[in-house]
Amino acid sequence: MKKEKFLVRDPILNTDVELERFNYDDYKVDKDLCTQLEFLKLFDNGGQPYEHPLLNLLNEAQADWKKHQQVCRDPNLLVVWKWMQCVENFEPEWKYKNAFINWARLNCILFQENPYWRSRLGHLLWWAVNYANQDSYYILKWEYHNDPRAWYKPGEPRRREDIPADLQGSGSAASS
Amino acid sequence: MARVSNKWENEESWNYHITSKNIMREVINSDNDEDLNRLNEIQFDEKLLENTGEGDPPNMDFMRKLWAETLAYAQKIGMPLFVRPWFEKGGKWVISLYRQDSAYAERIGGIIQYIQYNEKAWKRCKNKKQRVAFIKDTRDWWNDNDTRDRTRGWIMKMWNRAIAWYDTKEFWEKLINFVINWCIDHNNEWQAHVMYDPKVWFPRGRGAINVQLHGGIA
Repeated sequence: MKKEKFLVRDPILNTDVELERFNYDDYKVDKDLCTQLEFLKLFDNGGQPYEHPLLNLLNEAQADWKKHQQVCRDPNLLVVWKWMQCVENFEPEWKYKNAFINWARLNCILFQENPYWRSRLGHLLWWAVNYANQDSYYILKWEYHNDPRAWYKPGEPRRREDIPADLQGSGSAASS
Repeated sequence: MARVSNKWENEESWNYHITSKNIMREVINSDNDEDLNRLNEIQFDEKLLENTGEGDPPNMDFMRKLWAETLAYAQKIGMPLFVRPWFEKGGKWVISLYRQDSAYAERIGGIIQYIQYNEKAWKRCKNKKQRVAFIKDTRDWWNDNDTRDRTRGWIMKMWNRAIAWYDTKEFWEKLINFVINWCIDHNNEWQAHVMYDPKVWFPRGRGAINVQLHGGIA
């Protein structure tokens, strides 16, 4: 697998950090898979990021101890916010890049603002945490493409290595 | 408090892990040696070097003694004017990193053990060219074994700056020779520990999922 260098913003130091990732660009886009994602345009907001005072406060808290203390009073919010930052760093360039980032930003805002959303998103987070417990009915297992450097791109079919051997057949899934 | 939290849960730990480390990283990222004077901006409490009952990481007494004798040696051979304003602060800061941050202790301790293990190779070096090659080999061993990409660039810059100084400035050549020889000559005072094995350096084992979840930025 080819590797490539890429830059991400370190939010603490406020500088770019050069990292290395696998290059998963060797695939043909499956238009049906893209169509399934068309709903994302709801969040595109004309290509503009959603803005909110909460996001401003969280951003400023990275370099301001007093504001950091303020936001640390809600550690669960920080978990969602750190996820949102990760999405902002790693979502690839495509027509709904901004929409997916906005969806992440919306999740962060609603988590703090709207109890309906907070209870349900919190449930999802704890659902996953529960299944990391080795005593649970099923055990949450790490999949390499959970790493944002290995995220599937929009329209990218399942990679051959992700298809169970007994379902692979003779053709290549990546060429569908 | 002689041990700062790594959770940034109070102002002291925030100043240590965010404010002071950011100054250190900016100094490392700068190619201008004058910026080393900025190390004096670090708010540093000498208590961070002391054990006030909460315990020390392994070989902390070795590190304290290494620093005390290195400082004495630097004063004996004469520090260049450019070095004097920040040398003591910088040295104490590095020793405090060993004490306060396990990711630094793992790597610093691992490099000391690598040097001690390769004692014969060091002693076979007859000239500066060979000693530079030994130090570069040590750097490359670290680079091959460190899987934490976020900090790789900064650590590599420190190595390369130290090697460049070693190669061109007599003070640094003498001082680095002193440190390496001291570590080798005092290896009977060093206690091997599993934390120095690069197979367990953060994030191999501890932190493996965390670093992947953050796309390498952890």
